[in-house]
Amino acid sequence: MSYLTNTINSIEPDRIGQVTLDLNDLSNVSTSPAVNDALYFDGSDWIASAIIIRYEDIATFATPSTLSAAQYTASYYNTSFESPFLLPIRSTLSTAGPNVILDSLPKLTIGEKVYGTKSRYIERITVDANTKALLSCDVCLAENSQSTAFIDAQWQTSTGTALGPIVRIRRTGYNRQTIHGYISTSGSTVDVGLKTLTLSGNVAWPQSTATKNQYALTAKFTA
Amino acid sequence: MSHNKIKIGNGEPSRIGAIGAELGDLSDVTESSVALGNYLIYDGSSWENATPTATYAGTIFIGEGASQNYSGSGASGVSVGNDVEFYAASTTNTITGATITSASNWISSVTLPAGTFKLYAVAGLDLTNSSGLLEYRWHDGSSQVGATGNCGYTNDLVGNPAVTIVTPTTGTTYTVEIITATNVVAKASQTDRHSERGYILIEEIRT
Repeated sequence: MSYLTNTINSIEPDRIGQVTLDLNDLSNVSTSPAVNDALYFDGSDWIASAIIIRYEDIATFATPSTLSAAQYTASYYNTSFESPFLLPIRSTLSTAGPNVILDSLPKLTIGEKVYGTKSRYIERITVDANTKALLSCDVCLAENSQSTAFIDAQWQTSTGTALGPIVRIRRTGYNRQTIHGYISTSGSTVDVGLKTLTLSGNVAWPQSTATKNQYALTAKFTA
Repeated sequence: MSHNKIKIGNGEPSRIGAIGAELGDLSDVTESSVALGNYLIYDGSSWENATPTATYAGTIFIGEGASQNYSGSGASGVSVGNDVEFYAASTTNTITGATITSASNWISSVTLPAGTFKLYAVAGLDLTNSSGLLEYRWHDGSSQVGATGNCGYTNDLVGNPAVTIVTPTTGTTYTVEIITATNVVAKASQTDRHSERGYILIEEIRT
């Protein structure tokens, strides 16, 4: 009398019927793994592959609001409010609104300045220690600014270190610019923001929804 | 008389001989509290479920708003066909295999490895009057690639980038080449506008 010997992918059971399989023994797996490789399906087989995770972008933080800021009923911009950074990256936000979605993200913390119950402004970004990030802010001046008015702005640290090029921004309809800056921190946190280098003409407060719709801030972490 | 019963890990055959073996039944796989988003990761000796360590797409960023007259750059000129150089005393380069070519902190070119990259460049060379126009494009050593960037006479007209996506299959050197130079101030008289407002940004999309 003979018995059929079962095999699995050419591997025979031992004397107690146990079959020991590695991943590579499976017919649809082909691996030569290195440390930290993951199992990746290439369309036909499972193979060992390094894991690649792309951008950890942060999204636009300024949720448009129709609320006005009673504090800033004066017509024009007052740089004395800058401490230390440029007001136009701020946006009047509802206290009830989901204004700063970044707060739940690691590495960056938004600092707000609150002038009233309906007047909150994004003032600075605190970057964690040991972080590298490309900061990009799309911005223009308020639409009711003087047509010839402009601000030259630049990403800087709170101690005045330049992080990128100088960009001239004007009111909506005249230009909207993207301002880039690159921050690399080491052992401690660093406050960064847009710094006004030059202000010319009458720049209005950036309070309307139309103006705020022009704002977007993103950051791409690079380490 | 009894007969051996085939098992795969903990998986035993059903009465018709079918064996249901899961990944964790394999001898070199260790599962523990598997959660959504886990990968099967090799730790050097066995496969384990885990959340992978994050890696990041590389970036090159050149441009720090410095005040350096373009007259001091190594550019051969400010005419059509000349390459634009960019000033940075400290550059950022986190793209593995990429190199930045410079002299006296003026960057003349960037060499990228195989991969897919998005390239931006903004130039701000001085123009003599409001009729002036500078246009520029990325150049891969043999031809111009991507959309045209431009700058005008006033500083608010600096910031329209040349943009392209490139997919070199081997190390390729990229420059920013002038394609229109109307009423451009001679190189010897160029000021610091370009070093203050110009920049290069390259983002790795795929390795």
